[in-house]
Amino acid sequence: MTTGSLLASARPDEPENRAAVVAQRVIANVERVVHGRRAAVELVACGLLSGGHVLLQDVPGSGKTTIARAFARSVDGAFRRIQATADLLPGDITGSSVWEPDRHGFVFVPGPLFAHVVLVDELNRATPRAQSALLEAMDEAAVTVDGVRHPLPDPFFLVATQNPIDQHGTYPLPEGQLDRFAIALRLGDNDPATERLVVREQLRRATVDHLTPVVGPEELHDVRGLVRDTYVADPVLDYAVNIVRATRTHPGVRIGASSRAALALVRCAQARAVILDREFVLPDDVKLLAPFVLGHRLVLHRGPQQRTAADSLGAGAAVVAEVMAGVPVPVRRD
Amino acid sequence: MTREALLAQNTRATRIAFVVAGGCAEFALQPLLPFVEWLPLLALFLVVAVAAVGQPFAPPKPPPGTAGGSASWPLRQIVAVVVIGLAGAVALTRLRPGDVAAEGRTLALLMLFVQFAHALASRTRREMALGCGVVVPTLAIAAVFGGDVTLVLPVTMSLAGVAVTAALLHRDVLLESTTAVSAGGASSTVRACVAPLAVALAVGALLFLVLPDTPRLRTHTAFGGSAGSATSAGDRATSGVGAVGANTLDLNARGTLPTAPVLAVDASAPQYWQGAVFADFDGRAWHSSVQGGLQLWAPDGGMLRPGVAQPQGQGRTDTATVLSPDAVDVLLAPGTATGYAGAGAVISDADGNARFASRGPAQNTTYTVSSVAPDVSDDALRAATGTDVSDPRWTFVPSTVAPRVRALAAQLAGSTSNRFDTVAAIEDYLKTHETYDINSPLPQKGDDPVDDFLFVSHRGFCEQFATAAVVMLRSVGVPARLVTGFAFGDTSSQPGKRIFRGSDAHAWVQVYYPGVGWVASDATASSAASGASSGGLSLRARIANALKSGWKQMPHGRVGAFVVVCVALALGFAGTLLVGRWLVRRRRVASVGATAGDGPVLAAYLRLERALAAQARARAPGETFGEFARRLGGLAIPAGDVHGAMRCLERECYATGRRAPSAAEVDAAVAVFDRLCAAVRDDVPVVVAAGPPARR
Repeated sequence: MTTGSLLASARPDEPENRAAVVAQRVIANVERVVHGRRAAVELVACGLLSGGHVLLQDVPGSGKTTIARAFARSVDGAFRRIQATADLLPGDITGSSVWEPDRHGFVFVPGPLFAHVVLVDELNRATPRAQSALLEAMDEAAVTVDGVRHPLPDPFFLVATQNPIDQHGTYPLPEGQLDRFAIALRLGDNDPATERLVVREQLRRATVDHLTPVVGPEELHDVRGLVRDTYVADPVLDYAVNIVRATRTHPGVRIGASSRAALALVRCAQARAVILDREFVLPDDVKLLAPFVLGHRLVLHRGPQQRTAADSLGAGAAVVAEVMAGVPVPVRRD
Repeated sequence: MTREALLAQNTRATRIAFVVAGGCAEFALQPLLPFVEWLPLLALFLVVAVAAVGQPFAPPKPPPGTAGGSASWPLRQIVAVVVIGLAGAVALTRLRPGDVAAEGRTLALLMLFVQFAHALASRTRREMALGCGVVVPTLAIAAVFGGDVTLVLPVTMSLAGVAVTAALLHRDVLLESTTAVSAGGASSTVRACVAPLAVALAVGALLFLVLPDTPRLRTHTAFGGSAGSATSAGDRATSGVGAVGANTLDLNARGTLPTAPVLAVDASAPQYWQGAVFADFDGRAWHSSVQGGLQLWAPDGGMLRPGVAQPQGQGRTDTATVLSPDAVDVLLAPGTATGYAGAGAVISDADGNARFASRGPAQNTTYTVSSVAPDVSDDALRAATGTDVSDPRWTFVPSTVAPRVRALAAQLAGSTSNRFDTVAAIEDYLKTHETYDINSPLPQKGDDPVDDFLFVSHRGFCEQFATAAVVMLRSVGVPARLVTGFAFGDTSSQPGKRIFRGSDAHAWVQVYYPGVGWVASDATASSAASGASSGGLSLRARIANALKSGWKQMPHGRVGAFVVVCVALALGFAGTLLVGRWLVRRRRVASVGATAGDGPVLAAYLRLERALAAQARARAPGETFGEFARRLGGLAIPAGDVHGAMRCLERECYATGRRAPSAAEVDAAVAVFDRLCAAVRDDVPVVVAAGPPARR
């Protein structure tokens, strides 16, 4: 499933909610440089507002990095970029202790992970050892080096990209790592007019660098709090849980989505409700996000048609869509 | 093709399947009714069917609030009531108290027309489905009471029709509109069913009371007045009392079978009571006469016939009570009569014929009869040797008997080495290749009845079976003759007694075994052989018998019968309705859950969903309100209103109490849903796109 099939609802013109105002501001800012990717932008925004991390997947040159950088520029905070390679060491990511002669001791020098927004490019080129260094950071917003735990800045938002083709020298992401991404999406093709516009703008100059931040770290932190407080009715919660549980019994699935997936699904649905200036979550939010939140977490029985990670991601999303067709939408409170 | 056209086509297909099912049921009734009565009924049905198929499915209804309230009874409902009333009146004129089969057909006929009229008056497909269900009990009644195996084909076809209809209706009836019971749906269905039925019953009752009591109502016509089922002993063979004693048995005519009791004997007495012995067959009819030296038995009886070779076997003496008001002119005995004590004088001959010389015993008087019947084992019969009967009458075959009949007999007898096995082979052939049918077609005058039975119709009752057996046996040289009398009788209605009724008249075969005498054998298919108990009857026959005996206990007379018919109809209809509702409710409970605590907007929306289910356009279970809202709209209501209402619905269902819709918003949303609902009922499409496939 590509993001093109995500039909973003009409956005409110004048949001009443403060969180919605912020969300709209970020999205509008990103869309100044990212064209024809509205659904993708909204999805990444969902990840940003829900406190989750996002995995972008597509062929090189399709704008993954541009989207990630545009979000990073929109948040007024520290931004770091990690280019993953086969010789990347965990210490290169987390930072390490170095001897400080003046103090006669080791001093921790933070690595590139210590930023509000971190872009990990071509994540699957890093060795499993380097990838696992990201695990704690993504899950607990902290890194432990030499037995000392160093909290990461708050808010912490990680965007990773992955190249589905050219699999030489790559290390497929382990399930544990995939499960820590709230949302995984593919960008898909732009239509010809949009593509021409993109090329025209890029001919002039690199536009991302001209973006100005529209939200500060503290404000983003507050907005995330508001997202967490968005009302989820019991039927909607049941719906999300039912979808997640249904993935575990699907015949094509070896390992279904976890409880963490259910939490992420509801969290992202809350974020979507906020983006659309709604004070409560609808089953629609859950339904639209489920393929992107659950698809990459499913471990499928290997079919002949899925050889690469990207295929497996698309197949996972398709399975989720199939599962959802069988889960009735609750229509009343119990 | 436009969506509307598709919709109309779908509707029409449903209705056609419905009518086909009804048509099969009508066809099923054909053998049960005289042609002259069946033809007008068929015409009536055709008119109803054409009207049902042709009329728009749900004719436009004035929206609520406008001045359309006075259009209370649409034309089709009036037509429906008239049709039911007419059908009821016709059916009731067919009603003959005491005649079980006719009453069963009456019930079936009436229910069938109720169903047609229901089809005509139905507003929704769900009602049609319920009406369709009426076909099933209708045919069941016709089959059980009619006891006609020819019903199997039309019943099957009709059930297939119902199945097709059910399949067409499936999504509406069982899946989506399952929510249709709670509010309004059920009561309107009940109204639609009950109102025409009640009025029709009233009209029928009125006509029934007003119409003059024509003589035809009291007499039993030969056709359609018969009782009996395929497997019971009841047989119109020898036409009751009169025919049992008749001298001639014409195979090209059919007698009547009154259910009146004829004779009461002890329950332990044999099941076959023999009357006349028929020796002469001329190719069309059997003739019987008292042959040779007339022998008068004194009224005080007890004397054996002198000068006649004593038949061998077990002698017994029985006492019988005459129940028939008409005198029985033949002496009935469980074997060859050898002595008599009772009123009147008896003339007997060497064949075993025993007739009353003048008037026999009067009603409710008793006579005693001694008789002898051979009692030998099968092996003894196989080994029987001695002098064969010499009279050529017993092996005479008329020259008109077709060669292929003789050839068949020769073929069957060819592989047997003794007389008993020959008889068994021919009997087995008849029982396995021919079908017992009390209403079997009669051969044309001049046709060979045996040839017709064996090679053309393959259907017949005991006369045909017995005649065919005798002719075939004689053609291979086995001495055989035909005997009429009563068989089986009824041991349940009076304790300790076996009651023979006119409908128990039967014809069977006697074969002469050298050294043994005349031994009875019954070639009639599905009838118990001599000595077999009713335990040999099939389950269906026993159910039918139980129903009939239960029916006989009921109060008779015209009014009583009418009441019984009405009650049965009401019960049948209520049962159908209940089953339908139960199906619907079961699905609803499984899919949706309790309805308590629904908000007003949700309640209004669910009403719409129910209405849409009838068009198979309801929201899919996995579809959210938001997705459904995008499909909703169309011509009926401005899209903005619809979306506003759906937003309101979402807030009612999923938002915090703080964000719950206000009273004004609730009212507006409910109004929108109600308008959509009305539009759906008027067949205005309100869903502009098809739903998502169930599985992607």
